[in-house]
Amino acid sequence: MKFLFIFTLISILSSCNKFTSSFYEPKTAKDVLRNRCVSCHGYLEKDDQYLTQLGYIKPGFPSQSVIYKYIKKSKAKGPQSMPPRGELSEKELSLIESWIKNVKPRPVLVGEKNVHSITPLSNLEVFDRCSLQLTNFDYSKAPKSLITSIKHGDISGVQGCLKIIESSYLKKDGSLKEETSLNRNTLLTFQKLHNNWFNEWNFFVAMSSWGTFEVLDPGSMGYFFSKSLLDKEMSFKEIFKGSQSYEAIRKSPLKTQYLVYKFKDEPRYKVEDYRFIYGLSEGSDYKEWFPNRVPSGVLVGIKEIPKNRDILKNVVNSKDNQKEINPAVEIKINKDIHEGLGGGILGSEVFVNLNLGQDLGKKMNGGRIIPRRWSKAIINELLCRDLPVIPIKKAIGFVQKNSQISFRKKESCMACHATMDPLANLVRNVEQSYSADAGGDGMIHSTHLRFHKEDKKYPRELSPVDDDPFFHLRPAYGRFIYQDVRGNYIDKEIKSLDELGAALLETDDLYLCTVKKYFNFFTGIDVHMNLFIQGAQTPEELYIKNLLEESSQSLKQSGDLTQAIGILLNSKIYRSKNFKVSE
Amino acid sequence: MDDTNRRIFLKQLLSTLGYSLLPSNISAKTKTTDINYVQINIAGGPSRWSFDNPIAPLVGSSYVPHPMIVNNFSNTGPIASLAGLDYQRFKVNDWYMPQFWKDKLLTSTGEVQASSLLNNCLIVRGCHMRNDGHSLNNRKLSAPIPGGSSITGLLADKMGEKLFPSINLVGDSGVEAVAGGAFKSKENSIQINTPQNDKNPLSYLLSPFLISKPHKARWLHLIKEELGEVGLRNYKKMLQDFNKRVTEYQRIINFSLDASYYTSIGERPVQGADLKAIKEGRVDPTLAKYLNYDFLIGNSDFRTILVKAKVKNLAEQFATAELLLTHGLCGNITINVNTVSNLFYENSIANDKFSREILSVGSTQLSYKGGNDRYTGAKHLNNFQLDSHDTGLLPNIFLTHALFKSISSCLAEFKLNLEGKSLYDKTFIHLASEFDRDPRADCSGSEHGWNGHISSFYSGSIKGLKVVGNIFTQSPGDSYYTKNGTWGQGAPVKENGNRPISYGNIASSLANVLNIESPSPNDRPLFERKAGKVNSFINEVKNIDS
Amino acid sequence: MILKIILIFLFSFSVFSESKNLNRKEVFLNRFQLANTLAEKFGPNSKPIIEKYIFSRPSIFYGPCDIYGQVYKKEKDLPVNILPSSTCYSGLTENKITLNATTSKLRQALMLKSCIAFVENESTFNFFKAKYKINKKEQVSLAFYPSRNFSFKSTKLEDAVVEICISKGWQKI
Repeated sequence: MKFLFIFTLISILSSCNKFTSSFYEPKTAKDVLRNRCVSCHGYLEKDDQYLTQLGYIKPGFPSQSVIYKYIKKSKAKGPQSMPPRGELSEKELSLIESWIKNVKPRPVLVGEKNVHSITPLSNLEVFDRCSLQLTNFDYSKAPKSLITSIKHGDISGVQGCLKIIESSYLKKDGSLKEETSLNRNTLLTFQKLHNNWFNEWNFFVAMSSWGTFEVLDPGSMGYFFSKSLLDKEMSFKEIFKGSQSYEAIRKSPLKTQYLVYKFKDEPRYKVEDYRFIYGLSEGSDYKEWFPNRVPSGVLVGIKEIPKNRDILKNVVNSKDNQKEINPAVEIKINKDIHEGLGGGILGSEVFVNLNLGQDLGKKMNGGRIIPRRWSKAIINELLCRDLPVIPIKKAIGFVQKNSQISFRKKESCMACHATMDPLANLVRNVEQSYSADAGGDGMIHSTHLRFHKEDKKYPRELSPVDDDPFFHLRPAYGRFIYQDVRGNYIDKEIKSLDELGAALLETDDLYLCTVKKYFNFFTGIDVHMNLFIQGAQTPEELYIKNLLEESSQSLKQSGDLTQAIGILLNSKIYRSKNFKVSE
Repeated sequence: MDDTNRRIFLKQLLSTLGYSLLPSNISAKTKTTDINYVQINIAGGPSRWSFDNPIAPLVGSSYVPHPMIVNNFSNTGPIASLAGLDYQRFKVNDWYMPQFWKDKLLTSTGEVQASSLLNNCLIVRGCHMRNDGHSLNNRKLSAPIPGGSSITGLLADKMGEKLFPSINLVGDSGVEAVAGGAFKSKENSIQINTPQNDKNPLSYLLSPFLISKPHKARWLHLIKEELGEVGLRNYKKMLQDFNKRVTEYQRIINFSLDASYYTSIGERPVQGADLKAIKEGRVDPTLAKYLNYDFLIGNSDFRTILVKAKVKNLAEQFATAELLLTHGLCGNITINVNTVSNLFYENSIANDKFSREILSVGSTQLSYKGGNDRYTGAKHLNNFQLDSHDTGLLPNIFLTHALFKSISSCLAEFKLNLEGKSLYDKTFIHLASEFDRDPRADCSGSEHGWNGHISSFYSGSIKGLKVVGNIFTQSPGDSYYTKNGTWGQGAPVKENGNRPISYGNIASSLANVLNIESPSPNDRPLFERKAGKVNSFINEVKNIDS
Repeated sequence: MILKIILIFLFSFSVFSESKNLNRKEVFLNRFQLANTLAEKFGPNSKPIIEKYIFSRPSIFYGPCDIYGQVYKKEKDLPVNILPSSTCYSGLTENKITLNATTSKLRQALMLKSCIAFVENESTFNFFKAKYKINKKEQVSLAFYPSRNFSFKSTKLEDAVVEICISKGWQKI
């Protein structure tokens, strides 16, 4: 009874915030970390497995654990500098020590386990399910011959599903091979799915830049994936190379008469009332240009945007509301507004534009002003990883004690920055600009990227810089510093976005990330990348892990998204009523 | 231990054992939260110098005056004259707030002094937003890392049994360009956006449950089965209460728009612009002080600009929020404040008849192009542009006062009703706009102060008034104007690692209070809520000479 | 007694030791799938009911809008989208709503309203009865669950149809 009473007390105090008293009395190591460390070192909130995997603790060995070595008065040989003010009490120190001593890595299951679907679906039921998911209609709307074949057992339900995808394939010109309402639905479903993989979509960041929606499509990133899936000629690998961009082919009985963006509580603006302007305006004199608008209508295909179709002659580098302090300067760029920087989706105008994260007219300086949001988006959205990905002991090597930038001096910060910053350096020559200095009644201006040309006068930097006014003119150079889900530490020199694309294509992470997103769509099961890092801990996890590995390896080898999806659909888990399997 | 005690003990044991063994992350944040969050979002970023951004909050605070940062007519005589304008403070406990807080606010139980709201208020000033931009910064107020999770989203994930995980009461600004449009949760929770400026947002929200009497009777068994207690609540009564509350809030707002009650500035007729003698060509630069966006205001008594003024939809939004909270339907609400509209112009000239030339930084010239068109009247489009670039000195003084008095009065009424249901301690109200403003030398308006955002918080869990955050007495640069007087540009705070406060710090603080994970975990929190009380980690509130 | 407690402790430990690398969410039909399925069952006259309660509520029934799928034409001086299935009702943020729907009390309430409306509307109810050749409640099961028997609590035919219409089984993927 006494034991249970004490245990309860410990449970209550260690678990629920509701019962936290107004004074701090740590009972577990987690209490100590939460109260003494987390406000500066947020990652220490994460679980034991994460801390082990990233090298913060060595289970069973406090004196060899980074966290412990940093604590003042710990008996381990180390910096002993934390916390910066004051020190931990003996009790707090011993709680941390015994915690690390007692961390046991959870057992990992290996080897194939024989599973079966719980409540398996019939072929027709499987076909019904994927029909709904892809075409938004149940199987009754599918071609009669297909339904008959499935009913007769000539083909399986999953094969029927693949036929749905294949019938939505695109011709060489990008339009649907067979334009039926079901195929249009399938195309649109995939495009919506791919569009949802990317977070940033809103061009309206500052001063009348809502007009950008008229010439740039925020769904552009999704088109890369949709086209690769539905165009037999476009391998998955091509998503990550070249400077090609894609746009929708849309059909409509008439052209839209109103602009895309509805501004505030005003009535929608009419297309006929608005002109695209560029450059500096002299009084009421505006220069007009005529880019192709993003097409409106029913989605019936995806095609390559022809090169040099929409050339923007001049841009300005400042906003019209900063006339006084930063009068706009007109700059000649003669740029194809859809041309990317290379690496396919990585350097595409829309992906970089939306994720640049830097103000208009700011040149990248190698220090605070580099496109970190872009590099973070690559890690989050394309590799499904959260920073930090490299172990802390590697991060130590990137610390720059002499930097004026505070985060460069701390390894806890460099754990993320060591990956983000060298990657961001690759798009150093990009600057946000506006097509014109004014916008508003009757005039549309949009945000575009300006690419600075490399100037031979400024050679490649030898080490990271704090503030280099010529950084944007130096050759594109970066590093891919990453630890993949297999635990391989990568430190690769990268000189172009195509090279970055190639480096990403070598990882397994890229493929695992892609297939797991399809898996989530089809089954509602969201798989954490930790599954591949730490290994499976339950039979169900093991099954799903093996399935996704199989699908991703197929994608890596064949570059065929349909094939990878087919493996997922053919799985016992997809073909079970509630997406469950057991031994 | 007797039997009853043993049973109670065992119940507790089992529930906590089960809970404490969850193999989730060690922060042990609860699965649901019991703190309500209401963000009052003022998109556009009007100036708050004379409201809740105290430029000289301590008795010894040094500051450099700017002709636009004024709130008091000090001259004697029957007419308040421009020459008498200065800045006056009002002592609230140990703090020196702008004179605004002397005003009396109307509530349903009578008048209260505005400063009573400051009995439970925390103000964070001098927050640096890093980049300029309305949409970028207003959306940050919800999702501090663009593209990342939002406060409202993470809170929605923890709303537990509440009917609505998150509600955005949509105003003039729509959804996508402002904080409501940055909603992003981790668990696919939803946010409901009410139709823009809806006359009855509560009815829209409750519409799934509004079943007419005959239907209810006919289908009662299925309603019970499917919806349980939720389907059987007296929604009709809630809607009747809504109508009553809207009327009350509207009455309160109407009083707030009566300029004659404004401390000092409204107490006597205010000197108007002399437009009779205006001739083509260069004009008296003082006229710039009467510019209001698209008109040069010619009202002989400037106060009359507000005689027909309205603040659209504010009453409806506050009434909705109040009922949602008091009935436990939602604890995560965004109110989007519309501007003061329907201003009365007397003998006013359209702005396009003027040209304002910029000769050099801070030096401008106003010229009149001629013509005899004068406009007299009030229409919806005559309004206060919250993004007050071209809102000159006089309109800015009155219109910001009108706007913030309307909001404060509604807030006082809101507070009263929450206190009545013992909810004020558990509600955290956040008054937020993109940034404060950097005033023009010619007093014709003010520019974006992107490095001087201010957030003020009201809650029963905040005891007293506290102001934190450092500002520069004179801008050293990295702002629109340099050496422009004290308007609120963020300065480094030693307690914040020698950096100005960033919005990530505020978001982490909110996360602390609301018991959710921070959407900006790398930014340390500035305050927390412990044992029902908000404690600030930082105390600095200096005016720093650069 | 103590043994019972220990057993409960061990049980809760194993239950909560479930996988944390997998986050499972039941997938429900989104507004597009629901609209098509219901229109199939209740006929073309069900479309206004579906639009009012289901399709125009993307934040409750999920399914993102298609920004450029909208084509606006001037009708009586007002812009009208001639391709209504693409409409972004509250603005462009709706393009980021997920495809996979989850359930909530709000969804249940709106489904209840829709199903009651289908049954109370003569043309939709008659369409349903004619399509599935129904004159008694036992035959209703097949309309929503072709391969299993739905056990009804209701006795009347109309009630049975509403009951099965709001049931979650057929609304899951």
